[in-house]
Amino acid sequence: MKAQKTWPTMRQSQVLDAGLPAWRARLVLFLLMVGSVALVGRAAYLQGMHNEFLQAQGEARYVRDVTIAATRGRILDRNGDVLATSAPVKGVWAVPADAREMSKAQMRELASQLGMRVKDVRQKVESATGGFVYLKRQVAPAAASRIEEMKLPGIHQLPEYRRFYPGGHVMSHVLGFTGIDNSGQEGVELAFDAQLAGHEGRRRVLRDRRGRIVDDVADVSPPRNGRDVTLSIDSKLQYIANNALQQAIQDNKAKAGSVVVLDARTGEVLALANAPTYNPNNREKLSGAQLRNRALTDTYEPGSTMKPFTIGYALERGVVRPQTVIQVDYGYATFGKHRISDVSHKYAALTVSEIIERSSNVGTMKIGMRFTPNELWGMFHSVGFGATPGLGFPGEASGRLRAAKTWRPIEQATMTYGYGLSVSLMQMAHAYTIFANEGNLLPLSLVRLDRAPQPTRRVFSAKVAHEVLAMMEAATQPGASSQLARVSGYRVAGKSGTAHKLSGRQYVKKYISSFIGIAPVSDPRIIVAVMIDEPSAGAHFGGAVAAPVFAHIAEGVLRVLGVPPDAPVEPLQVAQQWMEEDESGEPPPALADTSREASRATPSVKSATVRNVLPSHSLSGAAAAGGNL
Amino acid sequence: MMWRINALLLLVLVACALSLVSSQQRARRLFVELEAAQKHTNDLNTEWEQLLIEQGTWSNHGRIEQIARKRLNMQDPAPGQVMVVEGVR
Repeated sequence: MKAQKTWPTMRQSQVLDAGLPAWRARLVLFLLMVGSVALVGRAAYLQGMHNEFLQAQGEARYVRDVTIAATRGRILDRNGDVLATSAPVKGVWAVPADAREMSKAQMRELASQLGMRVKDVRQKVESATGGFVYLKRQVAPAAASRIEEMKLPGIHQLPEYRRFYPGGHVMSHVLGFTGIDNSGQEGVELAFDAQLAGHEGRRRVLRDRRGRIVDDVADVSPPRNGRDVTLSIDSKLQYIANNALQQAIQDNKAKAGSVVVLDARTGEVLALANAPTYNPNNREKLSGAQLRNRALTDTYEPGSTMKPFTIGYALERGVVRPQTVIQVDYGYATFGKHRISDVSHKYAALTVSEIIERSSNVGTMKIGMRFTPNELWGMFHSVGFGATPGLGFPGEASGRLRAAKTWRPIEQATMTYGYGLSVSLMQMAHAYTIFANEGNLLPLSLVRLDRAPQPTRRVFSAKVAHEVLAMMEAATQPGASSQLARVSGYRVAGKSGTAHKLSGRQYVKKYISSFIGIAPVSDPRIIVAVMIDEPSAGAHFGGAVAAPVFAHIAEGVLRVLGVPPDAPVEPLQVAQQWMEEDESGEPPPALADTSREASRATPSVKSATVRNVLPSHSLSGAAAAGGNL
Repeated sequence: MMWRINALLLLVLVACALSLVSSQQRARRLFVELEAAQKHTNDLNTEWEQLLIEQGTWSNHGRIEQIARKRLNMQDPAPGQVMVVEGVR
C-alpha cells in the first residue's frame, strides 16, 4: 500500500521521470528470491546432509591430538643419590618439501648447530619421500633453542628424553643403559624396565590461530610417569670397589676382572664392579668385552675357593672333625692313570683345618671321595651352583653343574677342589653367605631391603659354619696362603683360588685368580669376592693377586660402614718363611719380582692328564663357559 | 501487553547471549593461563632434573677424593689414629 502511495511522488522526480519498466523491479525481486532460496537450500544441505564430513574437516583444522610425555623413573642408590635420570632433549625433524626452501646459509647454520655435515643434512632433506624425516635425535636443549630461534622453514622439534648417568664408568655394568626410544637395553635399565618405563598420556585439544591450546575437547588420559628404583648399591662402596679393581687390573696387567661386595646380613649387593668398563654417557665406541657384566654373566672354574664347601659338608655329616688327621702323602695322589698334586709337597699328613689353611688338593679330594656323587651334587646344588643367583639380571649365568649320575670318579675328585664345574663370581659370593650367616643361605637382592630377608635354606649347622670360618681365618694368618688378605684392625676370613684356564680342551698357563673373603669374623658384615682374569705381571696365585684387592676393598668398606674393629690395630706382619714350601710341578709361578706374594693356592690336575679327566661333551661346554672369559 | 513481555524476554536473551560470549572468552583465557602454568611446571621439573644431574656430577666420589687429597691435602687416617667410640652411631 505504501509503495503505491510513493509511486506518484517518484513519478514527479525529474531523474526518474524517464520511467522504468515495471518488469525490471519484478525481475530483481525474483532474482533475489531465487538467490535466497538457493542460500537457504545450500545451508540446509550443509547443515543437514553433509554435516559429518564438514565437522571432520573443521576439526582437522583446529583440533589436535597431543601426546603428553611421561618421564622414565630414576635409579637411585641406597642412600638416595641419583645414579640415572632422564633429562628432556629435542628431536629435530623436517617436512622435506618445506625444508628444501632453506637457503644455503641457513642449511649450513643448521648443520653446525646439529653437529652434522651440511652434505648429510641436505641428503636427508632431499632423499626423503614422506612428509617426515628426523634430522637428528637427542639434541641438547641449548642447541635446540638456537635452532628454534632461526625459524627455518619446514624444521620442527619434538620433545624427547635422554638418559644421563652421573656416575659414569663406575656404575656402568650395574645400570646398563637405554636405547634411543628410552627402553632398557642392558643391566638394571632392562631388568627393571617395567617399573621404570613411563606411559604417555593423550589429550584432544583446540588450538587457536597462533597455535596456542585453548580448550580440551575430550577427556584427558593423564601420563603415567615411571617409578623410581632404589638399588641396594652404595655408590661410595661402589667407587671404592671399582677403584681397587681397576688398580689391580693395571698392576697385574690382567685382561679383565670383577668384584662383588655383599651385605653379609641381608644378601644385598652393595657393590658390583667389572673391568674393562665403559662410560654409559658416551657409547660410541663400545666393544662386547667392555659391555659384559662379568660377575654375573661369565663363568669360570672356581678352583680352591670351592674347598670350604667340601670340607664343610664333611664336618656337617660328621665324617671328619677339624682336628682329624688326613694323610696327604706329600701332596701326591694317583687316581687310576691320573695324578693329583698339591702346590706344596712338604707334609705327609695334615689336619682338616690345615687342609683349608694350606689349600691341599689331595686332602680335600680324599675327604670329598667319602661321599657319593649324589650327596656332593646335593650340597653343591643347595648353595646355589648350577642355578642363577636370582637377581633377575639380564644374562645371569647359572654356571655348570652336571647331573650326578654322569660323574666319573676322577671328575668327582676334581670337583671337590673346584675343577670340572663352573660358576659365576656372583654365585660364589652368594654361596659364601652360608659361612657368614651361621649356615644359612641368603637370597640376593639388587634393590634396597628394609629388613633382612628370610634365609633361603639352612645348608650347614651354625657350629660347622663357625668351624669353617675359623679355618678360613687361619688361612689369612701370617705365613698362610692368603696372608695378604689381612686388614689392620679387623679379623678377616677367606679363601683364595687359582684356576688354570681352559683353552679348547686343555688347561693352559693362563690363570683366573680369585679370593672370597668375609669380614669382620667376630660378626660378619660384608662378603667381598674378587676375580682377576689372566694376571700377567708375574704373580698369578689368588693369594698374591686377588687377596690384596680384597684387603684394599674390605678396609675401605668397613671404614665407610663404620664397623667397629674387632682386632688390635697394629701394623701387619708378612711372614717369609713359608716361601720354601712353594716348589711344585706346576707351571712356574714366576716369583722373581713378587717374592713375598706367592700363595699355595690350587692348580692341580696337570694339563697332560686333564684331557683324559674330563669327557669331551663336558669340555666343550666348560671351555666355552669357563675357559674363554 | 504481550509485546512488552516479548521485548523484555528479548532483552534477557540478548543479555544471556552476551554473558555466554564473555564467560566463554574468560574460560579460554584462564585455560591459556593454566597451560602456561603447566608449561612452567614442566620447565621447573626439567631444570630440577638438570640440577640433579649436575649435583651428581659435582658430587662424583672420584672428584671429591681428588679435591680432598690434592687441594686440601687430606689423607686416610693410619690405623693407630682411629679411635672407636662405643655405643654411638
